[in-house]
Amino acid sequence: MFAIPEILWSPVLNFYYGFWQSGRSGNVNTLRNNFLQKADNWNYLKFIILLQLIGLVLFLIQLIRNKKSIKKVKYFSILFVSLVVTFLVATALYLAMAINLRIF
Amino acid sequence: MPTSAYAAKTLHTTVYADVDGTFLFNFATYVLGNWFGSGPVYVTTNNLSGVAPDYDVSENPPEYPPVYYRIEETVSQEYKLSTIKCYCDNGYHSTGIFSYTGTAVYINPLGDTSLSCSQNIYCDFYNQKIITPVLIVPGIAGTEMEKESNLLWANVPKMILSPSDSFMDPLAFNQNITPSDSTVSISDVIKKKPSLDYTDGLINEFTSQGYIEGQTLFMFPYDWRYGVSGKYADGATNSDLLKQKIDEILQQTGAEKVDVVAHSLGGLIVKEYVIEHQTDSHIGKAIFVGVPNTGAPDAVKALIQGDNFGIGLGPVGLNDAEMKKIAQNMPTVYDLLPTQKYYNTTGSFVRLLDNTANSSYGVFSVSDQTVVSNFDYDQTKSFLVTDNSLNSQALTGAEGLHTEIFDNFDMRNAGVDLYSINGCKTGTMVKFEQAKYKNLFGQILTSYAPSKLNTGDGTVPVESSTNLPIDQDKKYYALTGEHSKLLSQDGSRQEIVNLISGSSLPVDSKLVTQEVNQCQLNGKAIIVYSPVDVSVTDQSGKEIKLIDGNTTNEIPNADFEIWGDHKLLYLPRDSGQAYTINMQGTGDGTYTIRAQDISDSLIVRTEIFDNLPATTELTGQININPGDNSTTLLVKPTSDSQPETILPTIVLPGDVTPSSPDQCKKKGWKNFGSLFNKQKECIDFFGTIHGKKK
Repeated sequence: MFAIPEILWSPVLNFYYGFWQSGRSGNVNTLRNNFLQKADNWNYLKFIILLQLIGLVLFLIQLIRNKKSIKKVKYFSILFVSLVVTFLVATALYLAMAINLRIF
Repeated sequence: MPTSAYAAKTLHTTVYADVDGTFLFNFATYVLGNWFGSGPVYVTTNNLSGVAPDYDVSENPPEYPPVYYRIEETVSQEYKLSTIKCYCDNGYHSTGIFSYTGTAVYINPLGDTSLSCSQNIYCDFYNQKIITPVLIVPGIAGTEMEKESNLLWANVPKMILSPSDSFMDPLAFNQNITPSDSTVSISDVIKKKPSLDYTDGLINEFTSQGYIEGQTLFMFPYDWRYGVSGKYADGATNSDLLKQKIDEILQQTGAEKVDVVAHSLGGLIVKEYVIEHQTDSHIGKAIFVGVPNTGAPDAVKALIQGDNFGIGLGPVGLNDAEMKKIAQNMPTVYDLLPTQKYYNTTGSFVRLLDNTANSSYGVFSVSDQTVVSNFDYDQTKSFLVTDNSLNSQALTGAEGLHTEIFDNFDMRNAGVDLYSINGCKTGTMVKFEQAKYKNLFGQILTSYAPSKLNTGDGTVPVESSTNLPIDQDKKYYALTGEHSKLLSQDGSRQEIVNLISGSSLPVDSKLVTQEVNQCQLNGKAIIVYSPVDVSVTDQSGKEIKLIDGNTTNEIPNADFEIWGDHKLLYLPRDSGQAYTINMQGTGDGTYTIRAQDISDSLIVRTEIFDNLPATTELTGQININPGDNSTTLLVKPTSDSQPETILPTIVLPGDVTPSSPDQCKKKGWKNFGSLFNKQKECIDFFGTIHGKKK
């Protein structure tokens, strides 16, 4: 659930790229241009990121359940990476929900 | 020797254009002293080229009279013919065979005896679309602002992540209407930011029609803080800078006129410029998009309550109070205040509920003891300057701008071909109220809340955006979207480009119409006066969330306004939309909910849930009955208590609006609504005055 949208459209990567770019003058470019980068599709972007987050949480639950069947080093490595990615995706979702810039 | 003397030859004509169109040709043959024409031949280009039917341009043998041929293009006003290029299939060019005169080429097959064409002759006609340069004039906050190369506006990451919003303090003005920091400068017009496509989509649409940024498409970045009435240190105004920009464009392009697309405040700057240069404005077409010609009550909100520009959720984002502080002395916000003309057209836009003699009622409750006043225009000015300590100099400047001459100026008389695209169908605040009440210690306090909606784009009421002299058939209404998206959203974007360039991009009639009756609001307005937060989810999962005073709104054509603890929601129900509306108490006290049924922009019923107890444990739902649209509350006052259904304290049908003081009494308004104000006028709950008390 996380990987396929990211491979297809890079919603999270594009979000962070555009977000940091908007801190400087000039146009916000996209890393990988696709329909999710249209401002009209902002709600779809949030939905896709939400799906990715759900996928990651489900993966974490499965990982913790199967703790014993995975070698300790491998387990903690995967857990660490998954937690970092989950944090990034959750933050992206939160930020995407916080932004609805209006200009008068 | 000629390689193919007296041979049969065929002319192949190809038309090229930088923008597809239809081109008119005439093929003619000259023999025995006369031209014999083929009649009109139309060639339509597709993917920038098109082919005319082949034409016989054979040589005549020596025993016959010589023949000549001519191809002539009748160039339309929209195009110019840049080049004609003819050649033979052996690649041979000869001025003896081909002679070019303006829009025609003459072919003499035997014009050069040393060499000649073989079987085929080719002629290519290159056309360029004549493009009147276009200038996009953005609205307030539409230009990026910098301080020493650091972006101040709109720096979205900093707005979100900065613990305080003080990084934007340099944008503020002093009390004397001068910038607090002289090192702040302008940058580019905003194109695209996360969640907002401001001008990028429109620019791309123009580019698809052959416009080139910097050559035929221009932006007018300006310091929007000065608005229209503000003056720079050298005495110049933004309309002076607009003149400079237009002069530069005319000089660069050699054009005689520019077409202008003006959004919001930009329209007022264009109008002021035209007034100042009525005989030499050099503006061809002007398209006003969401222009608050007579102001917008949202500007009052920005001044007395602040506005977070849609950046914020929970602990992050812009702070209303910080934005209020920055806006306090900016001329631009005052220029957007509702004007005398707005008042004359729509009536009072500020209402006072004086509950100071009535301590037992809620802040926004109306009882027999409540004194209700609908402020007239002068009272409103006093309310802004005296009661709210706003900048009187800036207000005077704005009043000096919005004279009768300005507000009623007919740009058509100055030769401007004027169009307007007005956002409608989104609930837009047109009136708000101030409540005065006493707290437990007898102190008099004030609180503000929105009180009335009408159609608009969420910021500018349609009464204001359409309030300018314009041909009726040049008014367009955008049926979706919100104010800041009008330039680039589907529908209005294509309509703007069509009007300017003459293109025929498809425009969905569900998005843009010329029928104003499609703008009527049909839905539910819910005003919550309370320490209660609400969130809404529609049937497709789209949400409005109000958390810690900050909002997100995903529901099309819905509106929300937050004034401190008080909230106004407008939920459209044109298509039978269903909503789940949840409540969560955020403090102890009482809350009042006013639910209004709106049909064709008229309030047809109001249900009031008055003065109910609120605690932080309160949860519940506001339920709208899909059958009769009636409203009930399902409330759990504490986490332990059972849910209880609460019916409205009072229901006011909209069709019994009293027309006289006697009717006023008979209809029983005194049981709830304040019947009379200080002037002994009969007033219904919505503040409409119905006549003097006998």
